Amino acid sequence: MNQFYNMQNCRTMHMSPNNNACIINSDKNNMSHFPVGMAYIPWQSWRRIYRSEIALERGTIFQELDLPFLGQEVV
Amino acid sequence: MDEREELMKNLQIADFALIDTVLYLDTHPSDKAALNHYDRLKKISQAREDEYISKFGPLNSTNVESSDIFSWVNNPWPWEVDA
Repeated sequence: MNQFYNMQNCRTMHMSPNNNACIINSDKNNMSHFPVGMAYIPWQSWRRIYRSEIALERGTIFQELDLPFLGQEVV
Repeated sequence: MDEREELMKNLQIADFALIDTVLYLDTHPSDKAALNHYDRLKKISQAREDEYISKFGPLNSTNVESSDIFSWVNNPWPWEVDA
């Protein structure tokens, strides 16, 4: 299961190799031993926590989960 | 917003963040950073609740402090805010 974790910060598939955030290896993120047809959620980690005043307004303490249905990035 | 509403808002701010932290800790019980955040918010939330109750009365029917009257029956109810 471990090698799957380091994929969790792989936010976008077309991340360029030189900023080494997300190396796409040859066998399509090596989840070969995972059954197909299933959904997989990366394990959440404690990061990017909103100040409590902001969190109440945004409805979450996690910036990563602050995803209003607007169709664009929250600025 | 008068002082009562402000104290209530600050209590809600702390409680909301505390509860969201608890939800995270349910699945990450040994996450040190989350536990620190939980400890800090728990103290803040408790302090803000105590301040509200001491100034504006009980927040629910089981934290009435005065012994001569069941002050829970007094106006305004905690959730009542001026429009």
